[in-house]
Amino acid sequence: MYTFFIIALRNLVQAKRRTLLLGSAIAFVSLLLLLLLSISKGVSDRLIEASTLTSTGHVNIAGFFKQRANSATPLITNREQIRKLVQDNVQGLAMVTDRARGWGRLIGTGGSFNTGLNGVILEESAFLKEVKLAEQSEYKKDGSNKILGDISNFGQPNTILIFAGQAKKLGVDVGDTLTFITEANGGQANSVDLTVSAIARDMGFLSNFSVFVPRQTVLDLDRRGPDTTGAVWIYLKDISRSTEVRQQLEGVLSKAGFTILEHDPRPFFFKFQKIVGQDWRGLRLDLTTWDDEVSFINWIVTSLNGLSVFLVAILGLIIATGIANSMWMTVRERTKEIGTLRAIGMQKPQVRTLFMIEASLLGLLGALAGCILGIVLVSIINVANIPISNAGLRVFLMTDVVTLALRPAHLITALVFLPLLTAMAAFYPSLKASQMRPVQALNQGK
Amino acid sequence: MSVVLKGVFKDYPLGASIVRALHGIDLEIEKGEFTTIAGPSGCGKSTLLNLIGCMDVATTGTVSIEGKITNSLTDKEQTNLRLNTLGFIFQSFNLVPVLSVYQNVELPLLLKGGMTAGERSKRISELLDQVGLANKANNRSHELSGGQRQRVAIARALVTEPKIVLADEPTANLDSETGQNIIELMRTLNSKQKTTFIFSSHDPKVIEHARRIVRLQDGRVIEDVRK
Ligand SMILES: Nc1ncnc2c1ncn2[C@@H]1O[C@H](COP(=O)(O)OP(=O)(O)OP(=O)(O)O)[C@@H](O)[C@H]1O
Ligand SMILES: [Mg+2]
Repeated sequence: MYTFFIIALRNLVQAKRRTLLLGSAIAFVSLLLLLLLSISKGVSDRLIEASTLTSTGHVNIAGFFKQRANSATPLITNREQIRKLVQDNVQGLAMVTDRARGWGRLIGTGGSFNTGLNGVILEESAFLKEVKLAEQSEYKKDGSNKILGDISNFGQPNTILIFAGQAKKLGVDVGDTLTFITEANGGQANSVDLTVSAIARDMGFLSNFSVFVPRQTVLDLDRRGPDTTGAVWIYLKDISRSTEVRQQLEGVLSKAGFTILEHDPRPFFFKFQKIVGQDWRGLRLDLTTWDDEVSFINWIVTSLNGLSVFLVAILGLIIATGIANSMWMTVRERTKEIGTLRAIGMQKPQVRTLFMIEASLLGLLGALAGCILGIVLVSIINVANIPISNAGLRVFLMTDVVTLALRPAHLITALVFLPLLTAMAAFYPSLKASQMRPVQALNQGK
Repeated sequence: MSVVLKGVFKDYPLGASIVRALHGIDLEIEKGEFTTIAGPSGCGKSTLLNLIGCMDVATTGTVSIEGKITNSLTDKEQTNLRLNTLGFIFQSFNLVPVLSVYQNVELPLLLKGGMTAGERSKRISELLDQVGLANKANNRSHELSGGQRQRVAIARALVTEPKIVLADEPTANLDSETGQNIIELMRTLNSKQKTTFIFSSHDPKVIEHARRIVRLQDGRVIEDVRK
C-alpha cells in the first residue's frame, strides 16, 4: 500500500502542470465550500445569539388568557409557582427569567408603529447587560458620535429602551417622551408616557419587533397583578437540549394542574388569531423552544444553505469532469505501465486502487490547500471588520460587519467531500485501466 | 517438465479475416533449460511467449506450466501464476519510471507479500549485487543506460525466485556488445539457480549463446536443436 502511495504521489509530481491545475481547482472549490459554510454558520450563530438575547429563551412557557370568546391576552398567572417548578425540575439550567408582554402602538413626534412591549426584569436580563448602545448619528441625521443614553437609567418607572431604527422612525432622541397605547382586558384603551432612557444599536430585523420597558410598567399599564407575567424564559447550559426540556416541562406543568396547548412550532404572537377564534375560557400554557420562535426567519439560514449546496454541487460537477478527463489521459499515457504491472503479477483490483489512490490524493492535497487558505482568509475577514454597506443586507444578516464562523466540522467536511468526489470521478477510468488485457496494454504502449 | 505445449494454434482476428500466428506447436521445455525462440519477424515468437506467460490464451491446444494446464484459469489465477511462478523481461525494459531501482525490484515482492522489510532488503541487495548495480539502488530509471535498465529488469524478474523467466527480445533495444553481456548475465544466473529461461531473438550473435534453439517460421517449429 505504501508503494502504491509512492507511485501515486510521484506520478502527481511528475505531471506537475496537470496536478497544479486540477489541484488549484479543487483547492478553490474547497475554499468556496468553507467560505459558504462559515457564512451560513456565522449567520445562524448570529441569529441564535440575537434572538436568544432579545426575543426568546431557549425554552419558553408562555400562555393565553381568555376572558371571553373573540379575545386573548398574552398572559400567564401563577408566575412564582411556574418559576419554582422550572427551578426544581430542569437539569442543566443556566438561568430563568420572565417577561411581561403587551401589545400596542408606540407613538413619537415623528411617527408611530405597532409593537410588542417587553417588560423585563433588569437584574435578570442578559440582553440589557450586553446590549450595545447606538451613537447619535446612527438614528439622527447630522447626529454626533456620542452615545447619549445610559442603561443604568433604565429601570426607573416608565422608561423605555428602543433600537436605532425605531428611533429614526419615531423621530426621537434620548430623553424624549413616547406614548404607548394598548387595549386592556376589558376592552378600553390604556396609555402610558415613556421616557427614552437609551437607544440600542440595531440587531437586524429582530430589533424591529420589540421595545423594552421595566416589568412593572407593563403590569401597571394593564392593571395586572404581581403574580402574572407574559412568559417564563428558560436558558440552558446546553441549547441543544431545548426540545427535550420543553417536552419534560409539558409533563411537569400538566401534572401540576395547568392546561397545555398542543405544541405549535410557530412564534407565540403568530398564534394569536387562532386562539382568539377558539371557544374556551381561562388560562392555557403554550410551550415553545427558541427555534420555534425564530422559525419565521429560519428561511434565511435554509436558503443560504441551499445556495451553498447548489453552488458547490455545480462546481463539484465541473471538477469531477476535469478529474475524470485527466484520469483518462493518465491511464492512456501509462497504458504500457499498466500492462507491465499486470504482467509482473498485479491484480485487476490493485490496478484500480492504484489510480483511485492517485485521484483521492490529488483531492486530499487540493482540499488541504483549500483548508489552509480558508482558515487564513476567514481569519483575515473576521479581523478586518469589513462593514456591510447595504442596509437591507445588514438587517438580513443581523450584523454590521462581515462575521464568519469556520468550525472544525467544516474543515472535515471539505477534507472528506473532495477526496471522495475525486475518487468517484476517477472510478470509471480506473476501472477501464484495470480491465485492459495485459498483452494489448503492453503492445499499445510501444 | 517446466513447460509443455500440445497442438497449440493461435488465431488473431484481423478485420473480417483471421491471422493464424501459430500452426500446431508441440514443445516441451525442461526445468533449468536455457532456450531461445528464434525466427524472422512475424514468425510468432511473441505470440508463443505470451501464451507461455499466461498473458494470452491459445485458440486450441493446451499450455501447461509446471504441470498445470493454464488455458482455463481465471484472470486472477493467471495473474497469481505470473506473480509466483513466472518472471518477465521486456524488450524496452518497462521499469516503472517514478520508482527507484530498489523500489522497482521490490514491487513484485510487495505484490506477493509475506516478507518483512529486512528480508526484502537482503534479497534485493543480493540481486542488485549479482546484476552489478549495487551502487545504483536509489537512482531512477531515466538516470540509467539501456543495459543498466535491462539489468534492473532482470533483477525484478528474478526477485520472487520464479521457476520460469520469459524474455521477449531482451536485447533488441541494446547495442550488440551490451546485448551479449545481458545474455551472458542471464546465462550465469540460469546455471546458478536452475531457473528455466526462455527468450526470443532474431540476432544470430545472441542466439548462439543459447543451449537450445527452437526455430520458428510462419507459426511452425522448423528446427529444435540442443547444444
Ligand atoms: N494482436 C494481433 N492482432 C492481429 N494479428 C496479430 C496480433 N499480434 C500478432 N499478430 C500477427 O501474428 C503473427 C505473429 O506475430 P508475433 O508478434 O508473434 O511475431 P514475432 O515473431 O514476435 O515478430 P517480431 O519479431 O516482429 O516481434 C504476425 O503475422 C502478426 O502480424
Ligand atoms: Mg515479437
